[in-house]
Amino acid sequence: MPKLFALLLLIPLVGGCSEFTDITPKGQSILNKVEELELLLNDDYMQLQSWEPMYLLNDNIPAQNVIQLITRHEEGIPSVESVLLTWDETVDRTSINQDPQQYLYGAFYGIIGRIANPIIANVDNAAGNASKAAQIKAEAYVLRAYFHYLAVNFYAKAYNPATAATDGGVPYMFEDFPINELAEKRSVQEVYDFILADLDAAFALEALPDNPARMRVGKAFAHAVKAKVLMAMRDYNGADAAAAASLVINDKLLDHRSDRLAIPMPPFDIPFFDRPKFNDEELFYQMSSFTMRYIFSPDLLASFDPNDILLNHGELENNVATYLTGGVLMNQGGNMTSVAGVQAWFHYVMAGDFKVHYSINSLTTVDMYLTRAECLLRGGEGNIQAAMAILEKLRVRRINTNGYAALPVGTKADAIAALKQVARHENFATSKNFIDMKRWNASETEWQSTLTKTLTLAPQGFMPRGGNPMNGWDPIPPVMTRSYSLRPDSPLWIFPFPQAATNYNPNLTQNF
Amino acid sequence: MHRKLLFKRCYHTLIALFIWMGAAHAQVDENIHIKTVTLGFQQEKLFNALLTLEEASGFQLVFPGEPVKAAHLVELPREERTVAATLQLILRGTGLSFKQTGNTIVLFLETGKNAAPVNPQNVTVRGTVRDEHGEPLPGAVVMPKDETKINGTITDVDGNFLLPDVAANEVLLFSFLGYETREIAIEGRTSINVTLLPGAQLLEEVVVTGYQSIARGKVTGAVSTVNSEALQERYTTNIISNLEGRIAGLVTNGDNITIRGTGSLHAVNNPLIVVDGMPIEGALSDLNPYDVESVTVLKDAAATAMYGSRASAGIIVVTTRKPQVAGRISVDVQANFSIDQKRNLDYADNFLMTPAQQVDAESDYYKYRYITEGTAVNNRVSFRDNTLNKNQPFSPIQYAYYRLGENMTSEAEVNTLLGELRQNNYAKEYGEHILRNHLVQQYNVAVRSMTDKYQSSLVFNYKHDNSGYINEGDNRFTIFYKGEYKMAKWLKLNFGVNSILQNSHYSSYDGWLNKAKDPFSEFAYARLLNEDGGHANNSRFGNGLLTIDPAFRPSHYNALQEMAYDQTRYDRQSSRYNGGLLFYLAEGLTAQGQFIYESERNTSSRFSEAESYLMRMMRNAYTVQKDGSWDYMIPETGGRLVNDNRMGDYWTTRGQVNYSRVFAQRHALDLLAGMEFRETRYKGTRGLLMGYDEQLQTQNTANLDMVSLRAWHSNPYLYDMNTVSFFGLLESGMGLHPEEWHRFASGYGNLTYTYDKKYNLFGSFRKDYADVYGLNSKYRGKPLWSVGASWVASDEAFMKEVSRVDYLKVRTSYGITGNIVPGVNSIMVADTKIPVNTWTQQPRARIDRPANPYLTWEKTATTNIGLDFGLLQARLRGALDFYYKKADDVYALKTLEPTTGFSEMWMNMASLYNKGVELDLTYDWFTGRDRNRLYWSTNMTMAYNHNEITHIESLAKTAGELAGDYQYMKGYPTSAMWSYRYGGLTDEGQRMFLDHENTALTGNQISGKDIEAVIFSGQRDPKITMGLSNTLRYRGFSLAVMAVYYGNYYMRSLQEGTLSSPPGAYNPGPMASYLLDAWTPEHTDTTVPGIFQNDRSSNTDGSGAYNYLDIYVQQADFIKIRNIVLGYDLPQSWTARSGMQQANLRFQIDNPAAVWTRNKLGVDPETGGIRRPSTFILGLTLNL
Repeated sequence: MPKLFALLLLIPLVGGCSEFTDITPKGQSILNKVEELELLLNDDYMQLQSWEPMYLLNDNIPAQNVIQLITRHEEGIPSVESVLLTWDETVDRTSINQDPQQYLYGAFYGIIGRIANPIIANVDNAAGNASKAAQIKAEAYVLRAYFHYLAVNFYAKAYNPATAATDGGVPYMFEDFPINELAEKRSVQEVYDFILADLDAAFALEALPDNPARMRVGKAFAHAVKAKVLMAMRDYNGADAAAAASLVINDKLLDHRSDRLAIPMPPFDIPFFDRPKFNDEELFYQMSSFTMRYIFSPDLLASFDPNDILLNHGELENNVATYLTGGVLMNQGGNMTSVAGVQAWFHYVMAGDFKVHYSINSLTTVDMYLTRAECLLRGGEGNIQAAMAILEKLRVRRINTNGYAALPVGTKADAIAALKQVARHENFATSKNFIDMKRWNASETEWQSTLTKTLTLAPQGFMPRGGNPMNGWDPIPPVMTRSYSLRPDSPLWIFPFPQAATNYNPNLTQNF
Repeated sequence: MHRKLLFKRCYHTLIALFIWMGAAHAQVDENIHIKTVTLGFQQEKLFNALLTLEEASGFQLVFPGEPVKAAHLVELPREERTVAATLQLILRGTGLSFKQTGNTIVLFLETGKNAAPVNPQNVTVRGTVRDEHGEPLPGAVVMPKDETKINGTITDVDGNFLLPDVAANEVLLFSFLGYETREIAIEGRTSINVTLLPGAQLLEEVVVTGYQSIARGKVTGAVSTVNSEALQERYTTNIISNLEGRIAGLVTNGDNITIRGTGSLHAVNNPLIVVDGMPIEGALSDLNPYDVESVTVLKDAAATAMYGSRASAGIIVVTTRKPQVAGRISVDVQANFSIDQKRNLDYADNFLMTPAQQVDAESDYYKYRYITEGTAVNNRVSFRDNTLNKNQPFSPIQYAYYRLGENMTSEAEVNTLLGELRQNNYAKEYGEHILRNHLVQQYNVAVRSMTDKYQSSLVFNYKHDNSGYINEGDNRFTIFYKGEYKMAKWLKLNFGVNSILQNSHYSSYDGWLNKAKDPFSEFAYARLLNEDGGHANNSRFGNGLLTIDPAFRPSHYNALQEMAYDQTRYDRQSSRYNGGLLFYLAEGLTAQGQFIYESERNTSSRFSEAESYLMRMMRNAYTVQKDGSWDYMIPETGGRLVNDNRMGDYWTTRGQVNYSRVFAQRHALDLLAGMEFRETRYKGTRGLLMGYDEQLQTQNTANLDMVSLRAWHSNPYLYDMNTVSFFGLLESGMGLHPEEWHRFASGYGNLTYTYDKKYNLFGSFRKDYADVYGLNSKYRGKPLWSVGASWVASDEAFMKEVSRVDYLKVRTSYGITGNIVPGVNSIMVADTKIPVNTWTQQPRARIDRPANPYLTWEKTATTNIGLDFGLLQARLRGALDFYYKKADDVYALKTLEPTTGFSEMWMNMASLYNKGVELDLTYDWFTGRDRNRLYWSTNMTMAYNHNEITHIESLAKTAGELAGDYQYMKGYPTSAMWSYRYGGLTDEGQRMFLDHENTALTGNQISGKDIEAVIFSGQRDPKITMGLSNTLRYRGFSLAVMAVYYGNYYMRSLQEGTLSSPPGAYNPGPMASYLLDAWTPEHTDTTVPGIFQNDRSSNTDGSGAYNYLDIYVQQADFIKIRNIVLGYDLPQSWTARSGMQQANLRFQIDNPAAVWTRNKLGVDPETGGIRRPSTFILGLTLNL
């Protein structure tokens, strides 16, 4: 009997090993609940910097010793940065190491592959609130459309109705893509068609919110994406309608004149301008601004009105010399000290950090106003007045009241020049300048433009004027002068697919 | 039955008996007066009757040869009787008595009977055999040395023997297993008392595998054991450091322990720890070093396959002590005091510039910058505008030269200042005021008792560690109880509780705001205390020249103050409960259930008082201007308290059936089968209190607006203070340690078959299940198996001829073990443990890797061939092993094309192997066991390991990705080091790197080149490890020396970086001494690139590419004496007077300065810098 008792004690141990170990470990979701899928959409999109377009358009210059960068380039050792700086078309960009700026391709497709597609694939079978399910599915469709739109604009030719069907585009990644297969490159036309189809699918769900949470997709952003896509496809009526639909939901503009001017506190005498994060202009806060300093080029600076509040109060340092030679930057930044090799570019100023917040790859209400303005101008001479009125609506909020003067209403060409100028500084240091300029350059010869620049480079430092510091300082005389130009149909407008992709996928032939 | 044969048989039985006694830990010593057998005999020969009884009862019978009358016939009706009764009846009329000793029944001649000598010249000798403690030794063999004489006997339970009819000139051999055999000539005496001393320990060992205890003779796998005697020889706070050099193949490298090399790339490579039969999660450092009876390391598959998936990296089985002597309470007391040599803070010895050198280097630079450089004026303006006027910190030398340049001071004044600074020595002051002698005290009291039914051990341990810094201390109290209770003849119960209470308090160190614990975190010429004894100001924020608004807190920083203002308390309760039941179901058949539960509760609280630097700076960072007045985004007063709570709960339960029988004397079978279930859970939370006031017990945390705090990016009002890191101090104070929850289950069985005690066959099978989430259920259970065989060649008759070989065993094994990587999934899952989106403070999830439905277990196949031997009366003994450990289906990351959205995916696609040789050799130069004779034994272990990856898809596509350590490449070891080739310095002192075509490139350029530009420069893990320990004893004194050799491996050290400017006051510190050798236009014969104004390299060296230059790779080989122990055993005549059994005093030196390193730089390969300080330990051991 006691021995029987002994055996009884052991019986509970004889159970199913497989069942015992079939547990869901904590801290993971198997993507079968709507609320858990939604967590994927709360990403911070931090990885989306866009250095290449900024370097190409001189919204920024590489944070390296530029003299050495150019010297090495001329000695036959190019780098991604030196090619973008020198606009050198002769370099085989696919063979140089692309490492420093390779995040973007992976980041675009990462959002598609890790956020959008898993939601689209799983949401229909997930348990939970049906309207929430529809909402996140629609958000996923918009994200998939938008990041394909960015990808096709970075890595392929701008949309040209005449050749889009045959121009090489980018892969379009769907939710059922088998991971062990190779992605197929689509034509530009196909990519745009898929983008529109995804946007339509999103709208058809009728679930996007008017007032989305921060850093989430709402209806205004969806319409904005559609406006930009149709604009690229030169469907100006469609684009205008979409932009208008977006503005119906959100037409807010920041008013730099009153909103954010702070009273200076000792020991400082400049009132700081504060363009906040998560402001109402941003339709999709796709990337949070982080500590970054941009060195603006003269043409970007020139696009600002001299009385622009951002320029004068945005804690932009207009005495870059002190940054280049003084202690602050060296101690805080590290690699920025090397910029000291650039000396003639004194006009470059720094911004970005401090209080000026903006998304680099996102869309804003400003983009919708600009879209409407352009659509008006595309519509005919009769709309110039209306288009200029839209631009003034922006300008008046950006310029100190006592310095503001409306632009004269002139020809269509004048108006388009004004539009380009406003867009240039409104979208400083973003990929939107790049995409717009590439679009203007695409095939309409009358709007194409060749970019030029002259670099005068010297070793770092100043010398006292006439040997007496009381007279002030002069830069050390230049040792190197270089002039470069970028033609509208340069292959440099198309970025190469990264080696990380082409090494593994022979389908990804370059589009330039 | 020939008498000689019979006696031989008995002798073997005896050996087997003691092996079995040990082997039968699992079995219970039953009482012959309780246990019953049902037997009957009809005219059976006495000998056969005894054999039958032996088999039926499960007891081992030991009987002397001579008196067992072969002719005696036994007649007994068949019925159930107690064993004792049965034996009594069988032995009726033989003159034999019996007595139970444990699981053995000893038959002996009743003293006084049959005493008449047969041969008139012969004598009858009687006497007692005792052990070294004077305790009687029952069952010792007494026999004439002359092998033609066969009338030996064995001692009875009181150690007495009586040997009739021996020649008066005969020499008697006294032997007892595990003791040295003694030869004593009778020389006509009739009474001989003999003391036997413990001898060579090769034969008697029992191997404890955790699942079973098995005689070493039966083992087929590679197993090393360190017994208590060796472990007690020296004092180590951690049992693992005590194993170093004693177990061939076990390599300790800091906290990292590997057995037989690295067998997996991503799975756990640490061995599994088993304590008293059950695996534990607790740290090895928690094991009481005084309470370890033995440590067994299982190295090959035959030994480890039983443990399943966690066993691929080997197993360390720890057995805690048990009471040794029945009927007596023993009390052991140990105390150890260890004190560290004071830390060497000499700048030069630490490869740093002395204060004077740093002053000179810095003044050279600032003189150039502010006086002689063409742009000096501009430099000064820049300093004035951006540093002085913005209240940024600066070094005193920088400021002096600025003022000199501006004619605000004279050269003489500057020189006076420099002269004063040269006299300072921050580290020395630090050593005087902040460091103190590091003292560790540890006390241990163990009370043990044993009766027939009950065994118990109660151990108390207390350890105090003063940490070597002021204001710090660590106390740990451990109580351990272990008991065994024989509840009934069929049931034994064991249970144990181990509880640790620990609390400590120490100064916080965050490496940013509070570096108070780092003596090298200030300029070498800085002061800790001012002349007047006040606290010197070494602020990293603010320069004190600006009269700041009283809204801000002062920016004064001093390490001595921070030691007190910013403290962390740590509390820990750790408990382990284990219990088990053992049932005797039938003859040789037992069933057991075991259970272990561990619970770990830790709390650490960092309290940064309002006066701490951290709090003052944080308050400043969040002081903002609002409507013309100041506003505080965090509470205006009070400090910050961050509580971190962690809890771990782990249990394992096991049910097992054992069957152990000997059939027909020659066939022994050991069989076991069971199931095991295991669960581990670990989790924790962190809580933040802001505005906390310890005295008033107030706090104001609820007022925090995290989103606004996060959006507040930098504070321009005071120092241009970047607030991101301050936000981190808030955000990181809240949150959780995500729960880690795992379950494992397994079913297992193994079988050992022994024929004639010489031939062993072993087989094991186990099927493991783990919660590898979503792992294809087809693959979830992993069958693991092993086979082994061994042959005790020395027991063969023909080997008996080879007189020098006492013991020789050949063994071989092969087995498959498995491995998994935790957290790898075969279906797509999102990680929800990631922190919230810091901008929106919303929870989020991220998919890190795509699903791979084909994931399976890693497979490790191990082949082992080994030899155990004992030569020259086992004075030379040891083991030699060859192994080949091949791992396939090893988890590795496969690169994915980024269009998929992912960059990599887990796949079972790598292969690697380890092969090696291990030798463990002991030689007793002098075997004296008794106090007055010299004993000297040398033990040497040697292990050679070759590790190579045979298949992998390398993730490194560029030189920059490959350069570094532990980058996996096919054909190279897992710890491979990859380096750039040094390309010399240019005419401008710029460092260059050579690619494979000998093109000189900068670090930035070469990092983008193909991987051919990088060379292999050896492996980081030692290929050869050796340990050599010598133990000498004479007249109570003992000396033990342990030395180790780590060889055939490489390290990087003293990489010569460059500096564009001296360390700034934001991040002050000493400068490396190699910078003194930096390139200048005049000094070009150097490898150190130009620094400061000559610096052409810092912008082009890439992200630390110079760290991986081949010229900084050194051979890391070293020989070190780990410790020297001098001991003295007080003579028993002294101890006995004070009622002690034994008293021992010990003096030990750890890490003595005796070090040989292959590198000539004076770098200790184990620290990468200066050698560890020596430790002096005084120890006392008493047995009451």
